[in-house]
Amino acid sequence: MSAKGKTRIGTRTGLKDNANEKMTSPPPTEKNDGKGRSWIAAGVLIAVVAAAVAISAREFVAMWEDPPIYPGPGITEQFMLSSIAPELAGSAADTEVYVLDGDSPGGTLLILGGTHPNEPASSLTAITIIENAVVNEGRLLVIPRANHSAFTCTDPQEGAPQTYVIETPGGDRLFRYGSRATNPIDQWPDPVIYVGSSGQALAGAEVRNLNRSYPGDSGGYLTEKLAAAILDLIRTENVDLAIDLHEASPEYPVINAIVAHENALPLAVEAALFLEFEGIQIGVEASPINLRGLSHREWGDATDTLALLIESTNPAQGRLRGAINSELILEGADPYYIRAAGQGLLYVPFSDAGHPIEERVGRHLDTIAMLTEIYSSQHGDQPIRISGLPTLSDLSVRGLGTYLDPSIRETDHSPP
Amino acid sequence: MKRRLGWMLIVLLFVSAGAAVGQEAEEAAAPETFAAPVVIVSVGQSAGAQQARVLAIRAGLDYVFEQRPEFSILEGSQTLILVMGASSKGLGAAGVDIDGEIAWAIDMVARARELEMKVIAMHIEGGARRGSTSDQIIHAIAPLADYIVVKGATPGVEWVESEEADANADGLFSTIAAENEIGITYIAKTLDGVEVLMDLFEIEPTE
Ligand SMILES: [Zn+2]
Repeated sequence: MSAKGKTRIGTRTGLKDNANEKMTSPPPTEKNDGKGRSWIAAGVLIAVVAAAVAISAREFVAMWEDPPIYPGPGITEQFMLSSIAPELAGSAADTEVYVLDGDSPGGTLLILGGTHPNEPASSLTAITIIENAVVNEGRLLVIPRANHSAFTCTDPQEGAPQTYVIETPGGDRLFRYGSRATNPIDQWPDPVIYVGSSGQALAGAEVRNLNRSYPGDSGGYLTEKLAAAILDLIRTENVDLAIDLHEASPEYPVINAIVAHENALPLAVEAALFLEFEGIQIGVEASPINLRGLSHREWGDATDTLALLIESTNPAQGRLRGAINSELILEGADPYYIRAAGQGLLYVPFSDAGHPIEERVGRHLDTIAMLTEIYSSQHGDQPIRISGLPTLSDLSVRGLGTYLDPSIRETDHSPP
Repeated sequence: MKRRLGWMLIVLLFVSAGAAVGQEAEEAAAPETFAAPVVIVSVGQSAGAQQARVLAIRAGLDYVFEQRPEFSILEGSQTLILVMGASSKGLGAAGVDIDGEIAWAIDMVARARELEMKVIAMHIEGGARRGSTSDQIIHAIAPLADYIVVKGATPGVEWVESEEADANADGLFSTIAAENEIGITYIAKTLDGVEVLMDLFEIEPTE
């Protein structure tokens, strides 16, 4: 960020100096001396600009690199989404799919993290699953960076950092804080009004929002191609239960909630009742039939999958927050939200404790565990049984970093 | 492992705690009993009625459930359970506004009365399902019932669950129950509603 700033200032000053020199160019008799000085000045200027461009270009291009994910003991296969959707090959929207095959057959679960890369608990939950889970019965597919392109930029004018760091026993680990929408460098320009593949008319910028692009179009915008590929995956893998992980700002009414397609509503309701019994308050909202383009609507309409979306609480994406930094992203504590809570403006409790990433990832993990447990009890012939996942209380005691320790994954595959 | 224990605990609670909840209910109001079959509907189109359906299944109640049915669904049943809770998205999807929804529910109760059915009003989604629209429903519908079940604090008893789970923090339900001399049971967790239903409908635990 600072390097980019320097680039601009350097360039502007340089141009101005250059112009001044032209206007006040010395008389011909002093031509030689003057020309020598300006050659030196120009040389220095070019060198400075070149250095600044090189530094900022490196930083800019570095954003296209993915921080590593360390496959855990349960991973049996890994492929790129383009292997089933060739139109994504070579594009920034292509993304990894991790497969965890169980010892015995059963149902298939798809977990989608990183639909909106400015909602960090979403992809962190998916990564925690990839690095820790073992499937005993059934099959699990995990996409940790669903909108991969959106991880390569941040939202304009939000002042969000490009990365944040989680402390692990094996050292600090870097993660990317991305944008809500596909990077404009990969999909541009936006239309004035986006009439989605679902037929819903939306503001133009939503054309780059993966969760408005379903059911998608393999010949459409890049984000629509991605949406179509994810639906293809659900179809070709016969996904029985599909969960899209999100976060919401504390002033947004649908928060700490499961949003369920009507086919999945009984499952969501029952899971929420038992989660409450375990001390986790989670609401259930039926997916509105007239709100098109969203995962919980279009996945369920287009396929037999039980489509669900889960929301946790992320003040960093809200409107009432202070500065976005690693602390706000990971601790979820913000004085302005405490004040807003005091005035009854929020849909979740908000205290000094904030909503730390452990709580948010833990809620997602416990909700996924409960949904699969209830699903398995309702579909005895198609069970999905997963072990090795930390719970909300594990995370609260040991910290998320314990379960994302790269040194463990690099050396052996035993769970922490 | 921990979760298995949790499930076993739940089963134990179902078997052993039924009696305790029953006593509480009797202290709160004259013993009131209801008869199956039951019709479960939503007033406000939130997911609360779906939750009530799960409670009915687990209580072993003979029921039919429809989010927003025709009145003909009432024929042949003994008790109508109205589950109150407004969802703007749910109302939008059903294509009705709040006034239309309340008028529909009042007509539904009138039809139930013609059929000599009893009526239970439930609010089981906690404080998160309180707000101006939900409150309009509660004010209009709860006083028409023979019994109220609410997830919220019993007056004078400290609430130990989370704040957002308490739908009776301002005493709205206790006030309506007292003013209209309606029996009421307060539950702390939605699943406690299973025992309440078993008690109200005199269902013996099968295990
Ligand atoms: Zn989101």
